[in-house]
Amino acid sequence: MTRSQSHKSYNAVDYFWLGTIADVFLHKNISAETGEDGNQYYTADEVYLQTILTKEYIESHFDEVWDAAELPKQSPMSIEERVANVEAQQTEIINILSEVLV
Amino acid sequence: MATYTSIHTGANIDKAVTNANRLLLSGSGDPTTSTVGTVGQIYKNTTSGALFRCTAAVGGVYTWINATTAAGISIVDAAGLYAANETEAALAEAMTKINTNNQYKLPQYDHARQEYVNLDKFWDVLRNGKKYTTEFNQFSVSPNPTGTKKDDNAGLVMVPSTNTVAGQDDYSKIGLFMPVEVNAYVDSNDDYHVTAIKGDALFKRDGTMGDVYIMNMVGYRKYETNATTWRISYSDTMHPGYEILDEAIKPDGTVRPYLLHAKYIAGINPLDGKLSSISGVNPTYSNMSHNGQISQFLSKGAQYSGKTSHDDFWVQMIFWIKYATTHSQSIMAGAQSTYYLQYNNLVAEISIKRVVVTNAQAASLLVGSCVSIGDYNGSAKSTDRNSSLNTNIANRVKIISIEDIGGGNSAVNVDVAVAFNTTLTTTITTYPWQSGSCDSVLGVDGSPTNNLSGKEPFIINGIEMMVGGYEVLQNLIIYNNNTNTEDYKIQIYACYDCKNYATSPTANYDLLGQTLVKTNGAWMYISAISVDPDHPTVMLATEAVASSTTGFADGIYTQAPTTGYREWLSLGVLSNGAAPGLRCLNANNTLSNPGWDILGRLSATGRTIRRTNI
Repeated sequence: MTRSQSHKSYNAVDYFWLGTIADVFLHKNISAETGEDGNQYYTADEVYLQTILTKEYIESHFDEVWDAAELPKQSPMSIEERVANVEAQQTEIINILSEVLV
Repeated sequence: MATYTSIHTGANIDKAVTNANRLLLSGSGDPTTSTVGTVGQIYKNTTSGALFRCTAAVGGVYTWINATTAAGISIVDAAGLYAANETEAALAEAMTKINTNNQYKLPQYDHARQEYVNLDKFWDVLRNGKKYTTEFNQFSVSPNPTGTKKDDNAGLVMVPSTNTVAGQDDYSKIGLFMPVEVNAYVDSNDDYHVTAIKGDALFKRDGTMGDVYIMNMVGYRKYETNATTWRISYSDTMHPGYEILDEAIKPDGTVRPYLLHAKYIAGINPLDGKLSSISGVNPTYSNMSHNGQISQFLSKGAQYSGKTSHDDFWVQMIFWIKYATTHSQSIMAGAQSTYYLQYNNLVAEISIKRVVVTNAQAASLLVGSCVSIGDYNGSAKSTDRNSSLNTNIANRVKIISIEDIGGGNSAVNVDVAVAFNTTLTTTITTYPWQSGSCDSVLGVDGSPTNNLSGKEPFIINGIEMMVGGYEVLQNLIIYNNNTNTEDYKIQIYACYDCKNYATSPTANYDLLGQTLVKTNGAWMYISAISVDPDHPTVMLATEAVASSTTGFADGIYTQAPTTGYREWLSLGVLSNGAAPGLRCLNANNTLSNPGWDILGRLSATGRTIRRTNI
């Protein structure tokens, strides 16, 4: 989370669909303040995420998405890790099917 | 005089001293056991091109190893070049290529001319023809400041360093991005001269060898924009659509063999009393307005300028390419509002060199940073850094240590020659950092202790920036044009000949076709920039609807309708909130307005091509 500042107030959800994924900025604790120059400005807590969730879903599950966005970013898996994961899932599926089909 | 015993014998002692002053020994044959050298020194066989390194000198017998075949020989050591380990590997690779072609082109020091020669050839062999691109969404598509690395830039990682942790630098092996720290000067014909390279016996940062610059290869840039994206590309080769950097072209149309950018914020060289780019001095703030800098830099030589839009563009472009973000503070914050601090002294003392503050206050101060100590006894306390009440005990001195003295308090010890007395109305106040604060960073990018602290300067490509004060762009004049009250415009004039800088635009200035965004006397955040093709290094903020975390994430302040000229104050200061960053612009001050926070930078790019003359 970062604290953002702007001369404009913030929306709770700013959503930008980029074709395959969306850039999303979430805001809360929005407050208006007056600067030394006498001008009003706004600050807000902000988290950023990329997601395929819809704007409507995010708006209706705001806190849940906020918390998810704040989770520490995991390092992307290597090819080897991804293959191992797929193989493990495949084995698990085969095991389940074996039990079901017997 | 004490008796001295040398590893050399007889007349070889004098000869060894003479040879040691040579960066490179040479001869038409291979060196022999009687070829006098110093351990580590390099010898070149001018017939075969082979390199040899002296590995021992005992009793008049000298051992030379073929440097092109022996393991562990450092070509960079031979050249005396400034480079990280990975850069060394890149240079070694380049040397292999050169030796294959039998065209040995390491920088050569010419003793008669007292400068390095053939530097263009040195850079040429490091060219690889690759394209380094970063693409960003237009703000209307997404305000996310993060871009995407494209072409040969894809997959390259850059993580800034600190004094104790070396970051990742995938660019260090690429000649185009390889900074070489040098002593250099500009002659009256606008030609560059490198007199020392970091690592050789001559190089100095303290001003005794003149100014310190960062030397880079001349490159080619390409800027593209459309409705959804904009992208910046940089290459060492003039591919279709690429243009050579304007700063590389002299007014007479000839091309400079390399680029030079001042490493440090401008401060006075005590040897000649002139503005300089050297380590260990306070940033000069007196008479450093746009107009003041004209005369200040002119006294150094008519070929010198204050910081130009070329210098500004160079750093910005390198940042965009290496970090793929327009939010510079998310990578390296620089010294800004987090370090706008002032504390009262808690214990009155006599003849000391310290101020006492609480432990919590002390924890927010950084050793190595710059503070002033003043006493406001009988007056109102003020945070205004221009006030002498904040500097009347010690003006701009470095914190050398902070020690816990018990009772919840700490002593902040400062570097002063003469001890002073303190009272309970004594204050300690932060000021812009001295030059050289990043000299111990373990890389070409980074800050001393924490890149995101918001308290400390950083280096980018070896260039130290954001010390806590604005840097005036000397070749630009902002014109608030309200002569037609129905059509207020904020226009820009640019000049590419520092010999013709003026206190208002003349025929030597060009009026740009685009105008700055109007923020009506408020700080707003830049969401779009525009580049005039005739002025490709002047990046104009044309829209400001972003925030401190989106778009360019930097503030811009332009005035409500009025008519008059204003100075271009870049980067930001300790006192203006979230606005600072590489694209920050304060256009609120008149051309003659100086202040504690209005600083400058020496420039070697004051005289360049003027495109509108073509």
